[in-house]
Amino acid sequence: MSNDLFHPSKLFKNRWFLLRSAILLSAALLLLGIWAFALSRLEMERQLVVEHASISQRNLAEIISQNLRRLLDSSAQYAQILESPSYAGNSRSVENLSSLISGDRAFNRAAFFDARGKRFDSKSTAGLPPGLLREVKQLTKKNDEEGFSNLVVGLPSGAPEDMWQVPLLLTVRSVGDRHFGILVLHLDLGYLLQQYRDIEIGRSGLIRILKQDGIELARARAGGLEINHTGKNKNDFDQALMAGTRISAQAQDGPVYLSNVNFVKTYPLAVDVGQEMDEILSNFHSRQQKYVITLLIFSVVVVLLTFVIIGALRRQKSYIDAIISSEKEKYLLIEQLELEKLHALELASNDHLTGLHNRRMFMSLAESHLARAVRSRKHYALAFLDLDRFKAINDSLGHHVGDLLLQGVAGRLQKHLRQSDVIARLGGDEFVVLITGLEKEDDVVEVAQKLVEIVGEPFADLDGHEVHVSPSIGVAVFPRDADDLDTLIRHADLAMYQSKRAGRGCCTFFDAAMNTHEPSGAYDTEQKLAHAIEADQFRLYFQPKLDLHTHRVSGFEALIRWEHPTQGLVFPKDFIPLAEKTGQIFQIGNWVIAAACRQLHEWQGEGLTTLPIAINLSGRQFLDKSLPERLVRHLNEFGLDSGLLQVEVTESSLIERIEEAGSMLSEIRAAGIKISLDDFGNGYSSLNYIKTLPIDVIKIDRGFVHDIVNSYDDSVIVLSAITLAHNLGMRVIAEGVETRAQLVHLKTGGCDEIQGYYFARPLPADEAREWLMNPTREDL
Amino acid sequence: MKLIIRTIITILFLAQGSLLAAAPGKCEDPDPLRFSLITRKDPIKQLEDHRPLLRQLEKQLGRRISVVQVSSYGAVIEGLVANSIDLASMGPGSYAIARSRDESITPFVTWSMQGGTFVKANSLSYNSLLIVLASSTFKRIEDLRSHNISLTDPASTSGGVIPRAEFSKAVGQPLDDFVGRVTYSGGHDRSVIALGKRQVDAAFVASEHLDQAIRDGLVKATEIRVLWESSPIPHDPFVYRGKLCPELKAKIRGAFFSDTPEMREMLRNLKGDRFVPVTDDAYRQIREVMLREQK
Repeated sequence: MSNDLFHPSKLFKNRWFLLRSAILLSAALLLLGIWAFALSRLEMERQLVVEHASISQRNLAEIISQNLRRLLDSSAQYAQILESPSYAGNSRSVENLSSLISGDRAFNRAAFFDARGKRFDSKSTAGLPPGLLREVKQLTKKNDEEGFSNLVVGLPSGAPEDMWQVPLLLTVRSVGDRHFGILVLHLDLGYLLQQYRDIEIGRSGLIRILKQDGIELARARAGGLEINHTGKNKNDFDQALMAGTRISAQAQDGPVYLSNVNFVKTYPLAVDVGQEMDEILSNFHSRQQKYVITLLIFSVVVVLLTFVIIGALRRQKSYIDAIISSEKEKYLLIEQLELEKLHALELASNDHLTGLHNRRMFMSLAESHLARAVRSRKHYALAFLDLDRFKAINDSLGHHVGDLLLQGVAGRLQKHLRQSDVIARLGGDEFVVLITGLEKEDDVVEVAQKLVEIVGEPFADLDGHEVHVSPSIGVAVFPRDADDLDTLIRHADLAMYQSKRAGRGCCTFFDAAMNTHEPSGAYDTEQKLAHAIEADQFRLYFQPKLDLHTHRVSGFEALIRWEHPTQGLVFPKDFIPLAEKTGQIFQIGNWVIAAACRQLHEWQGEGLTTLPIAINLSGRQFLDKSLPERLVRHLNEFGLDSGLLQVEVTESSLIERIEEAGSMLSEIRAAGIKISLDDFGNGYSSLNYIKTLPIDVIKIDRGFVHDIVNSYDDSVIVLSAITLAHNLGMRVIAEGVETRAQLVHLKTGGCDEIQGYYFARPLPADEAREWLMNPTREDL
Repeated sequence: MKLIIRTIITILFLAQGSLLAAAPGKCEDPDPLRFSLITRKDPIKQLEDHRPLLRQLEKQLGRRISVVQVSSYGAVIEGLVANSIDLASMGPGSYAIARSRDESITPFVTWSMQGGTFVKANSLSYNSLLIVLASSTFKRIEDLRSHNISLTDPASTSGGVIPRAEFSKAVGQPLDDFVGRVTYSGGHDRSVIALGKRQVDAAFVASEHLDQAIRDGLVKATEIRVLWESSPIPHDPFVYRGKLCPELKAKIRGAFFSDTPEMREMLRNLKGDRFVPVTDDAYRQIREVMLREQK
């Protein structure tokens, strides 16, 4: 039971595995997702930081460029002042320009030279610095060109005090080039320094002002200006000077810089703003470090948490396992309890001595068997078994041996009967057996005799004793003898007492027709039979016959019963053969004729529409020559129509006394009494022979009828017999019809009438009377 | 653009008138008197310090004093040489350079200092100091090899000239070769700030300006370690152009030595004890150093 309802452990094991895998997987996915997200975010942020730095560098470079451009624009304006007609060629003009420039913090010195480098103004004795001659030549050559060609940026002289003074060479032309000259203005880098010194450019921030040829004029750092005019800083980067953003090392193996170059528009200068990548990213790096540390901590927490959860689940699983195992134990306990209950029930329903069922159990089992039996075509019989002289054995050999004997009997019964048979001990030495599912009724007889045999065999060693015992058995057949269990038991019990009386060690059927032995001592019966008529112990029972065409009762067969004062109801089988032997058959035969006529008369007197009664004639009665006459006399005596009386003769009785029978039957028939041939099919008669006899009706033997449904052969015999009989002008009655199937079969086959338990059993006169009053049976 | 040029030209014509009044050969008596200062430290603050002197001069000379704003030491030199500055406060170094270009430029007054952390009380000289942060690992001069230092201005005495000359001699090789990178901060106070920000590893500053920086709260005395000290340098002179008329010169000198609230305030601002007359002799030594440098 537990297996069907409860297989959780395996199920749970799978679920546990899945659950654990799911948790681990989701934790791994979570971590993977978070790391992937964080790293991609960090990379985005890094790019953003670099982008921002680059933008501010570009902005700064642009601002400084514009500033420089403004300065250079104003330097060009100073040159234009000298070109104005009022100034042209005036040596004082330069002096005046100098005082003008002295108010301009960006420029320090103004000097005016001719094309050969000779100074115009008288104030200063110094000539054009030698390093600038090359630039002067360049200017004279290109003076016609557009753009910044009229401005050349020179390099400061080597003197320390001149380090910050960047000479700007500007061409000055008056009308007609007569006074072509060169104005040299010194751009004060200190001016730029003061302008930008508060700009936050970072520890490694670098602002460089470059000539277009890549030579660096100045570089500013957070701490101030750096001067290096030697040209040694002119590196690859500067040679390939171009606008835009670049990420490169400023020196070999040096730190990597992010830098942006902006060209000063229309002037040969460029501004380069750069910063070490490491510094740009330093905040980012510390943030990144924080992120990574936070993530690591988070990851560790997640991993720990996962293990804690799995651990908790494992603990939970072990609890659940414990619960499951306790559930299992509980179910085992329940099973055990149920087994014990079954055992107790068995004890209550079993006989503890023999292990057979007790009465209670037997009743319940037998009831259910019989309930099934109603629906089956099988035969059932109840055998009552009593051990003869058991009390004597018990008394002489002791209870111990008695018990062993009972166990021995029980063992033999169990051994020889089938599993389906129900065996019980009702108490004492009384056993009862329900023999089930027999194919043929006759098998009952066989089984009963076998019971007698097996119990009757000596018990070789019952605690050292050899014990001989014999059973007395009574058998009642279902549903022939009773259709309920109580009656069946009662009848079997009655039959068992018959066996006891018959001298023990034998089997008696409640239906005497089935008995194979003399029910009692022949002499005793003969004595009693002699007094039976005088004592009025005979009774007539009437079994109705049904016309299958009209569904009405067509008549009765009169059956004699001897109500024996001690033996109960004795059947004709048990005393007629004896009566035939002793000759008492004639008296009995006469009594039957008289009783039948009397009964007909009685019914007529009651105003009932009487139906023919058939009486059985014994073969011996053919010897009574006066029989036809007597029949007529009795009819007349009661004023009965001869058609109301019929006789039935058996084939065998005809064969035995063929000559007497032939003539006598003719006489009887001549008297208007119809003749039926009983037990047809059992004997040796051929229809050829029979057709010579005055027979009106043939009665098909119950043996054929019984098997008509199951046996093809029997079916064919019955059907062909019906056809032949009809051809001979005879009616056909089927005896022993017990089931509806038989009835249907017979009707289909053309049978005229039926007789049997299915329809009605032999009935006492008052019950048969009911049928006279209501002869129609449409329901069949 | 044209408009701007025309405006400038117009201004120039107006200026020309006053300039032409001073004929060459004759002494000059400029009105307003043009005054300028070398950029020792934050120019605005420095100008504020000199306000009392300017008030005293205006009172004494009976004329307006116009201040010529400059961007570097060199601008003052240039201004004096180009006759666009009449009176200036200079450093010994820058004076030396100016004098080398114009013999007529004359120092006439300096001042003795109040004592400070690094300046001896009542002294007429100061020193150039090579300073590092006390918390740094630089203990000896040699430790600074290939490290970055801050100078003030190429024309600064203690923050440019002396380090190049005297310090180079001390370490036996040019300053630029000994150290890694040389950065010019543009002012003594900025050098101190750059050092404090660790933008440089060491700085050459004037002792008097270091004291001032300490007074201004830019740095604490305990945070500074001095690794090298120059020989004494005479204090900064006030100079005037030689072409100024003698009466004007006398009046200017008189203004310095008059005991007025303005001049007392001036001395307080300069952390000076008193003004002291001075001649070119006091700066002869430094001029020789400069000359050697130029060669």
